[in-house]
Amino acid sequence: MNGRALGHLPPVDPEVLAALRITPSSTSDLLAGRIDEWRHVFGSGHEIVDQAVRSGSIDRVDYELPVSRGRSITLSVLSNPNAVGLQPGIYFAHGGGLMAGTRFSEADGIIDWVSRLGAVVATVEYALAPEHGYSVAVNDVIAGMRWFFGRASELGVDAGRIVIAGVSAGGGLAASAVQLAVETKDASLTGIAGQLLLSPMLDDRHETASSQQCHIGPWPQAANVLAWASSLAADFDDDSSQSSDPQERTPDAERRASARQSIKPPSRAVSLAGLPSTYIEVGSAEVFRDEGVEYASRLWMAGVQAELHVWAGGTHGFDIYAHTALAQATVDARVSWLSRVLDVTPVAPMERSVST
Amino acid sequence: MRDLMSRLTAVDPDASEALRIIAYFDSLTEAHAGLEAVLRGAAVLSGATVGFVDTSLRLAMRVNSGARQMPPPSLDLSSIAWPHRQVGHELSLVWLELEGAVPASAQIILERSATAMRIVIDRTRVRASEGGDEGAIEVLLDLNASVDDIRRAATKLGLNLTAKVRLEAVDVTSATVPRLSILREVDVGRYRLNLVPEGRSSELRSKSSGVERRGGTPFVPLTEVATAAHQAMIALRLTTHLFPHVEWSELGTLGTLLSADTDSTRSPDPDEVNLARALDRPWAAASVEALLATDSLRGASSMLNLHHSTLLSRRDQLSADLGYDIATPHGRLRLWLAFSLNLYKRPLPS
Repeated sequence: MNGRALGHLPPVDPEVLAALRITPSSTSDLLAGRIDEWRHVFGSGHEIVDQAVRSGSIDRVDYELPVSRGRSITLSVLSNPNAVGLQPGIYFAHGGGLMAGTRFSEADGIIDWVSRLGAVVATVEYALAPEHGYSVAVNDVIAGMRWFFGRASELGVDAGRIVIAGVSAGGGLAASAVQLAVETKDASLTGIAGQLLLSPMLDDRHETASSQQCHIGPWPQAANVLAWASSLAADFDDDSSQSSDPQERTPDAERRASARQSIKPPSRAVSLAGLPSTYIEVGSAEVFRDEGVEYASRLWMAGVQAELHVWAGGTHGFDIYAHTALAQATVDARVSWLSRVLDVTPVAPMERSVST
Repeated sequence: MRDLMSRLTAVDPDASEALRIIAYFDSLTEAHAGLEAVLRGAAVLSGATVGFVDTSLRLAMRVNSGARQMPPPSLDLSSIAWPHRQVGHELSLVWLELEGAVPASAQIILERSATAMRIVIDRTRVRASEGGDEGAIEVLLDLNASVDDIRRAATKLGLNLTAKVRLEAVDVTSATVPRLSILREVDVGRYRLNLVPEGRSSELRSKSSGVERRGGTPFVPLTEVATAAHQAMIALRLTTHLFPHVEWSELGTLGTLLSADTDSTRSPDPDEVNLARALDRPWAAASVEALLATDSLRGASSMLNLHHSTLLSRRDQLSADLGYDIATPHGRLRLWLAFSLNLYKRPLPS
């Protein structure tokens, strides 16, 4: 902070504020430790995808992918039934504070990409805290990425036009996964066209001005502290000790090895050189504002192309209020960047009830 | 898109829909959100296309149920058959494009969005007609003008907000046109309305010719100009050649009655019909006026420069025409009311 005075959180956009006022907050469940209730209220989004499939506007295929320790993860691949030939791909990690959410939590947004860009979207359901740690979640995301790249042509995807995307916790996981892919020169992940990081959860240190200003709204600092603590602590805990599934039991030695190799949050990376073209968006009235801005600055400093949007008066997750001018602008800005990076021409937004 | 309301209902089925609608628009208003934000809110809360037209501001907007902007509708308000509400006045409407029965929630949405939009317009816009002084006078004459509108208009006219003005309605043949003046029209013709600030009345009075017909009001604050203008117009319509100057304050309850008589389709009552017929006699109007203005036959006849026996026979003739004795106090009152209404409905001099 360099001794500079810390003011209040900038005011919330009027439309977003009105919507927040009539929307019950569920963060209290999380802060009170009622994780199951909070996960339930956070919602699954399955019904939205089901409806889109029924209306014929998207196709959906689910895949079970075995990962380490006998666990498997679920991926859904959503595509446009009218698409012909190879399409751009978007690999997506959902939000939910590393502790909640499903691969369809942001169903509206990903269906929009399928409809408007013709993209094939693979959305992954990674392991959640506190049962599983940050490293497990990142490794799940990477496993899904490798699978998506490896099966690209089979899925109708042009492997040279794949963007890694994530929202909130998923934004942080996507950023970590992309960092690792670049750092390890992972041959199966060459040619990532870009990363789309929406209000990404990048920094576990809670030292930025926005982190210290944000004590209200859908994702206050207290929730962020709890989420990071749960996720990072689980990297060191025996994450299977609470599980009744004997297959998940991990020997102490393996656990310690895993802890030593634990993956650091994206903002702690020493170098961001070599990362793909990046889109970052944050709201000016959210906890993640300054870590997003800082990440973009560091990318530019490292010579990486980046596009940064700070939406005035945006709270965390303001885009769920899709009717607001701010949400409409942000959805359009994402599609604009995606169309440039993926080299596609978007079609105009349309009513969800109208199938293409 | 997921409808905001159904999303909320799924999360919190117990909370009242009406209260949420009210809270939503109240919050927009408190935070100074714009017209478009109100329309988007109405669209998403109702799940319908929403339109808004204000012909005085030349504004037209339409957003679909997904809260995305659509091409603007025409400025023609008469073609709007959807459920709607006025936004402050009859030249400004917001509507919901809902087929069939209008649910209670939609009524609340219309009402609250109309209120919210009215507040936005008051805060942000100067009326399009507020071009020159005439436009500013129009604002003062608008019964729906807000205090902010009036303040801006007063500034434009060089009037202090605490100033008081007298309203004078004069016939259009009046030679004197003061600076704060505007032509107005009612069903019986055109007239000129003058605003006379306190302290400047003597200046105007000395310039006015004695023959001009004039209805006037007491001095009133600027917030009451619109009401006073209506009163001056009523007073003007009761002027005659014999009594060219009428003050609203002297009309008493008659003024109230005439203000209330706004139904132009009402058929005349028998006294009005009989009087109108009686007034076909060329001498009748002046005789009636003189008889009503004086308390004796002698006084009335001297006013008309007539021999009192001539006026007596005219009074008897009038009583016969009207079917009641106008020499009695009650008959005199009936005549006075019918004659006032008759004057009120006469065309203004042009």
